[in-house]
Formats: sequence, structure tokens, C-alpha cells
Amino acid sequence: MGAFLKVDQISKRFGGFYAVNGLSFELKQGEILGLVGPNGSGKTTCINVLSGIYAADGGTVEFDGKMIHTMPSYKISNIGINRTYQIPKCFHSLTVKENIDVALAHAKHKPQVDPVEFLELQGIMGRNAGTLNTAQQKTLDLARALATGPKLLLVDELAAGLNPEETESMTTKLLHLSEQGVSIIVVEHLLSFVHALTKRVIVMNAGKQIFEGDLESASKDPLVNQVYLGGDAV
Amino acid sequence: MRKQTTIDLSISLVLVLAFVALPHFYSNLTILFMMAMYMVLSQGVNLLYGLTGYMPFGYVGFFGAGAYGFSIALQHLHFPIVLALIFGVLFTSLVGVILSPLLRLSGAYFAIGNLATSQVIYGIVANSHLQGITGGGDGVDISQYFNQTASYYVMLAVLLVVMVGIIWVKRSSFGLSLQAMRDDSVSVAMSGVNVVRNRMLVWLASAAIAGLCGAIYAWFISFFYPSSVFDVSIGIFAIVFMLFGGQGTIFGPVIGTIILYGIYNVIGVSTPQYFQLAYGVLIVILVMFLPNGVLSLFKRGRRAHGRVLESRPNF
Ligand SMILES: Nc1ncnc2c1ncn2[C@@H]1O[C@H](COP(=O)(O)OP(=O)(O)O)[C@@H](O)[C@H]1O
Ligand SMILES: [Mg+2]
Repeated sequence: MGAFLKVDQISKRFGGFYAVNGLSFELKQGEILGLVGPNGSGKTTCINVLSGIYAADGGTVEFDGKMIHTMPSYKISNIGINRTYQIPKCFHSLTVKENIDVALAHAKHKPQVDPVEFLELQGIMGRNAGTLNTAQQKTLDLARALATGPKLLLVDELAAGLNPEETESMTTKLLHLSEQGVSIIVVEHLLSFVHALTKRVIVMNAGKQIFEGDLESASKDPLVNQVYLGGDAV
Repeated sequence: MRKQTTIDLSISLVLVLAFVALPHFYSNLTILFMMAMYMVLSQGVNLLYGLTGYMPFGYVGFFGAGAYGFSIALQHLHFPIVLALIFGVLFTSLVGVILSPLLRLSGAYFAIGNLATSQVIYGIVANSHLQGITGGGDGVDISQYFNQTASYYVMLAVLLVVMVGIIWVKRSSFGLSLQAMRDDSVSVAMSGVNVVRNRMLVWLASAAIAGLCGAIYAWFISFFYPSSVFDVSIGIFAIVFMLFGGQGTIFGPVIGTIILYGIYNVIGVSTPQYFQLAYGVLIVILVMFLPNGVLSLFKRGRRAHGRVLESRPNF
């Protein structure tokens, strides 16, 4: 089977500044890819392009046999890509249940898991999303994403702000989704969370890929160590 | 049907029935008509502002467009009343489509842009080169169709339909997606919601409501000048009544209109010089202490079915 997701030479600039600059990679069904790199290296921008929030200034993205780099977000959601956000973007005036209902009402695919049970949200369904703490809001973002039954899930700094116990539980859950055939791109600027999920990483710096391969080799790569200021992130 | 929906529908029905009965006890039909009309108009503003956060300062543009669309259909196309009303609504919707690029603006820019376009429509209608079609500055005379009783009851029918519509929107998944859109227009799109289309639908519905009000108003008074149906204060009244009662709520616009339009008719008629003052003070108090309107006084901590929106316009 060929690539499920094929990103070819995408770039995105803000003014004259390239936040993503000619990035290419492929992903198979059910595969987990770590997208790592220091702050400001273009990871979130890459996710924003893949999810249609920004149109790419160059390059193409093919997903499940369709060219998607010019699609608006709602269509991207409809064809089976969804995501979470580095800074949570819940619907603050709605309850947790209503947040999930919006996604369920517009979902075009049957969810692989029941997002509420899977993420153990039963206890807070009636609460206003605006009153949740950051970890809960991130979990709610993930629940909304899962409610649309995504075949490709993009998670942006999901572990930041979670305690070690929550991080471990999140790891188990993402691994379970991958076993169900969901492809996942895990964006992190620290490598420990990625380590538990996958061997394969792409390291970005200044909008470009500086390394692709397995995590162990990444930690020994001189360029990777240099951008991470001596490798203390590994 | 949920219990709260049944209650809301019943209250709406009682409200309209009360207005059906009122002319038997109170002889000033014009005030009753205007009150019903402002309830509908401020629901139209409520739909747009309360659900999407766009503040239509030039809302009267649609009102005037409806009044003229209706009159032109009567005078030049010789349509019967009902068809002329429909024509007025379609004409207003067309104006809504033409003005839809305004939706790309946000916050104060939208509000000002909308105000400006309403004045452009006014300018076009009042232009003497269009005298043959619009009557220009001389105004419109459709007094051969004058029928205040009929137009009053048609307005009440519209009020009922609009109330039912608002109740449906608030309870439907469409309404939920609108509220989510107001909270976060980026992440709502990732939930599969077509934000541009939804905004357009609400915009056109809101325009159509104003256009229908304008058309029925034209029928009710049957003689008017461009300045009277493009009077900016008509739209501002609707906005203030909606804000006073409670934006985004089902009955806020109704309560706001009853109280403020009531006060307007008491103070405004007997001592007009105090009216402006009282009104000004009221708006200041409102914005400072009651940003979610008087209905919010009864809704504290009882969010479950009222679903009061937060006062967070998309500025
Ligand atoms: N909307 C934007 N406007 C201007 N610059 C942006 C915008 N979004 C991101 N950037 C810039 O692009 C670069 C990459 O940002 P980002 O993708 O958020 O990095 P990362 O997620 O890897 O920390 C940064 O220099 C950031 O300041
Ligand atoms: Mg980031």
C-alpha cells in the first residue's frame, strides 16, 4: 500500500518570513509520526496548513487519494482529518456535551471510539467548557476531533500541561487509536512523549526538515543536538 | 418535544393572541402595530447579533428595501398584496446577497460598513433619476391598498412565525453550531461546520425579516417618504430593544420592546424633551450593569435551558 498522506514541498510564509519552507514527508495508515523541533520551528504552522486553516503558499498535500491543499477546514474535517490545538480552542460558552455534539452533528464518519467514554469525560459533561482547566480543555479538543471519526489525527503539544500520570494515559490512548488504523502526527517540542509513541520522527528547524529517521539516531545527530542547545531536550 | 420548548411556544402563542385581542381594549392601532413590528425587527437583529456577533447598525437598509420592493410590486407590477409582500422579501434578500461581502469585516468595521451601505441604498432610492420607479424624494403613495386591520394581523402572523423560528434555531443543532461559531470560528470549522455558508444563511434570514417588516409597514401606513423608511433610528431602536431585553435569548427582544417602546410612547408623547435624556441614561446603565439584558437577572445560575450567550461580540 502506498502513502496515506503525502506532503510534498509545502511552504507557508507570513510576510516575507517562511514559517514552513519546502517540507515533504509521507505517512502510512495507522502510522505515528513525531514532528519535533524547537519553539518557532514551524510545527504548528505545518499542522495549520494540513488542517486547512492556512492555505499553503506552495507545494501539495495528498490524503487518501485526494489533493487537499486548497480545501477549507470543514471539508478537510469531512474527509477524515482532525486535530487538537496547542492552545485549546473549545467553545467556551457551551457545555462539554454541547462541544462534542457540534462535532457529532457534522461528522461524516462513524467515530472509531466513543469520545466521551474513551477520554473519560462522563463526570464533566454538563460543565461549561470555559470553566475547565487547560488539561481538560485539551482533552475536550481531542474528544471533538475523535467525534468526527478522523483517519488522520494531528495533535499539537498535547502533553504540555499534563502531569506524568495523564501523559501516560494519553500515550496508551493514542497507541490504541493507531491500532484502530488512525494515522497520527504528534507535534512536540520535547521528545520524551514522542519516544513512548513512535520510533519515527521528523525534526524541524526554521521551517525546514533537518532530520528524518528513528528517535535514537536523532538524539545522536549533531545538527539536531545543536538546535536543541546541547541536546537537553532528549 | 422538550418541556422548555413547549413552554416557550406557549408563551409565544399567548403573546400573539394578546395582540390579537388588544385592539378591542385599546384603540391606538398604530402603537400596537409598531410594537409588534419592533418585536419582529429586534428578533431579526437578535438572530444576527445574538447568534453570530455581527452588529447591523444599518439594519434599516433592509427595512427600507422591503418597503420599496413591496410598493414597486404593487404599483408597477400590479401584484396582489401577498405576492407583493413576497416580492419585497425576495428583493431584500437580493440586497442581502449583494451586501454579503460585508460579512468579511468584523466588529466595529462591519457595523460602520453596514450603516454606510444602508445610506447608499437610501441615496439610490431617493435619487430623482429613479423618480419613475421609486417616486424619488416625493415618496410613495399606495393608499388605494390602505388596510390597517389586515396589515396588523399579517404582522402578528409574522411575529408568531419569527418566534417559532427563533425557538427552533435556539434548540436545533444549527443554532448550536452558530453559537460555537461565535465562540471560535476556526475550531468550529474543524468540527465540520461550513462557517461561511452558515453566516450567509443567518444574514439572509435576518435581512428577509427586516424586509418583510418594511413591506408590511409600507402597507400599514400606505404613504411614506424615503426618509421615513430609511430612518436610521428604526434599526437602532431594534438594536437597543434587543440589547435591553437580552441578546441571544428567545424573549429578550420581546421584553425589551414592550418595556422600552412602552416608555417611549409614554414619555416620548407627553414630554418628548425628557425622552432623549431618559433613553440615554438607560442605555448607559444597560451597557454598564446589564450587558446581557434584563432577562439575565432571572437567568443567573440557571443556564441549562435559557442558554444565555456571553456578551462577547466577535470584535
Ligand atoms: N499567524 C502568524 N503570523 C505571523 N507569524 C507567524 C504566525 N504563525 C506563526 N508564525 C511564526 O512562524 C514561526 C513558526 O511558528 P510555529 O509554527 O507556531 O512554530 P512551532 O509550533 O514549531 O513552535 C514562528 O516564528 C512564528 O512566530
Ligand atoms: Mg507550536
